[in-house]
Order: sequence, then structure tokens, then C-alpha cells
Amino acid sequence: MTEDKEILDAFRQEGKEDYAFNLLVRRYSRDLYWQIRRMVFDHDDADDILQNTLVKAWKYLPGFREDCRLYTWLYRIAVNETLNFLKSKRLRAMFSLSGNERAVEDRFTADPYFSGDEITRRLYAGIAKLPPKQKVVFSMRYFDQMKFDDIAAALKGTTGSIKASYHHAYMKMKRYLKEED
Amino acid sequence: MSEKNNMTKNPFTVPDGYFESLEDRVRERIHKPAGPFSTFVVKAKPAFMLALMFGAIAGFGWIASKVTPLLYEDPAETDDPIMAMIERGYLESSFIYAYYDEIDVEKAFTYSLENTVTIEGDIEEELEATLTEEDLLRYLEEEDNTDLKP
Repeated sequence: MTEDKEILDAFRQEGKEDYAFNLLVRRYSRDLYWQIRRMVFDHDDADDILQNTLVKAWKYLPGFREDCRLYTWLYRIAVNETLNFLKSKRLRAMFSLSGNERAVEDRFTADPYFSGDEITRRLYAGIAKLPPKQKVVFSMRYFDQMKFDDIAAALKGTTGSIKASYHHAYMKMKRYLKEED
Repeated sequence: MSEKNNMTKNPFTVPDGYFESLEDRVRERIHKPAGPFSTFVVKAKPAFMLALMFGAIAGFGWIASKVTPLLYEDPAETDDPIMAMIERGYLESSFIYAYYDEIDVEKAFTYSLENTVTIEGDIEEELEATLTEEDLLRYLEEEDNTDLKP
């Protein structure tokens, strides 16, 4: 919170906006990047989304009401950007003639920035097949152990709908991993 | 280490120096002045989309106007003279079967004898129009002669 105060105070001083924003990027960009990367997998996509998130943060920071932590606010922007990206990517894939199931599984083998073992590759291949919302919810719950209420707040949904999304994702993952065995 | 811990361990890496250069790249993007073209695109986008929508509606309308007459073509306007005559009522509609089925000439002849073919209306007028006065006089003369014949 002290860091947030320092960043926000500096941002409100004339001529210190750039300095404040650099502090924000330095402090939070790594955490945000890894959150995004776990949902989109690809480095270039994660980089695009992170930059969009930070540009939006710069644009809307003057209106930040401080009703939550700065990171929570940034995280919400990042999650929404990720969700929009995944939805548009899915739409593009629907009209794509080259998309196939095998490509999803092979992407991790071909990715030079993926160093997971076989079981991790299978886990991420399963997550990659989930619909956008389930993918985001599953990732937030499974990797970050976030509470359903917090996920609902970040995604502006109800706790019930988030629990349902997670349940569907969990069942699909279980089925997928069993098939793989 | 348990399997779950292994699976939740971050398997991803980033290119060397990625985070170090991120600050500069984001700052560059934030302070990059929007070019006149991109500003124009942003401002004109809604108007362009609206125009595109109207264009699409007009296009669909034009296509519909071209396709609809083909779907509901008046059979009387077809090139097929028999069909046209049937539609106009000059021929019995049941004649269509005789016309389209391959039947022998004798059957067709019998069929034509058994089924009345009416010629009236436009055709009657047409015949009158094509006959010259001379033809009519000759015809009437022949009629009279016939009647006078013993």
C-alpha cells in the first residue's frame, strides 16, 4: 500500500507522471505478465496484452478511485484484456481453415519459451482447449488459488456463475487428462 | 516434490532482457503521437461502418431485386409456346401430359380428338387481323358455294 501511495502521489504531481508510471511498470509488470502468460501461453500474445493493459492504465489512472489496491485494479484490466483477446482469437479460429486439434497440443513442444515436462505440457494443452472464460477462471483458481469471490469481482460476474465455470472447466480437464492416459 | 507442485510451477520463460526493455517500449507507445491518418481512421471509423452497413443493405436489396423475378417468373412469358398457351387458357391444361410424355403419334391424335382445343379471345382476333379482306371474301364465297352445292 505504501508503494501504491508513492506511485499515486508522484503521478498527481505535475511533471512527475512519467517517473510514477515507470515505478508502476517496474513494480507490477512482471506479476501481470505471468498472470497473462498462463492464460494465453504465447509470449508475443502476452506481451501485446501486457502493453495494452499498461497503456490503458496510463490513460485511466487519473480516474482511479483507490477503492482497492493498485495491483487489483491493474489485474482487472489485464484479465479483461486477456478475455477479450481470447474471445477474438477463438472467433478468428472458427473462420480459420488451418486450425486443427493437433496444433494445440504441439504448440508447447514447438514453443522455445516453454520448458515444462510431459505432464505439464498435457496440463497446458488441456487448458488451451477450454473456452475463454473457463480458461481464465480455471487459471485464476488453479494456479493462483484465488477465492471465487475475488475471481467474481475481477471478472465482474457473480460467484455462482464463476463456480459453475470452474466446475465445467474442471470436469473437462479431468476428462481430457483421462483420455490422454 | 508432489505432482501438483510440479504442474503449478511456471514452465514458461521470456526472451533475454524482455522485462528490462518493457518500460521503454511502453513509454514509447504512450508518448507516440497519433499520426494524422490514424486520427482520421479513429474519427471516421463509426461513419465508415455506418456507410458500409447501408451499402450492404443496398447490395442485398439489389441482389434480391435480381433474384426474385427469376424465382417467380411468369410461365406465360417463357419461350415454350405450349406452356404459354396452356397458361393463357387456349389449351386444356391436361394436354401438358401428352405434350411432355413420349407417346406415339396415334395416341396423340386420339387424345387431340377426344380433348377439345378451344380457340377464342386473342387468337380469334389475331386470325382476323392477319386475314386480308380478300381472303375473307374468298372464304365467304367458298362457304356460299358449299351451301349451294347439292
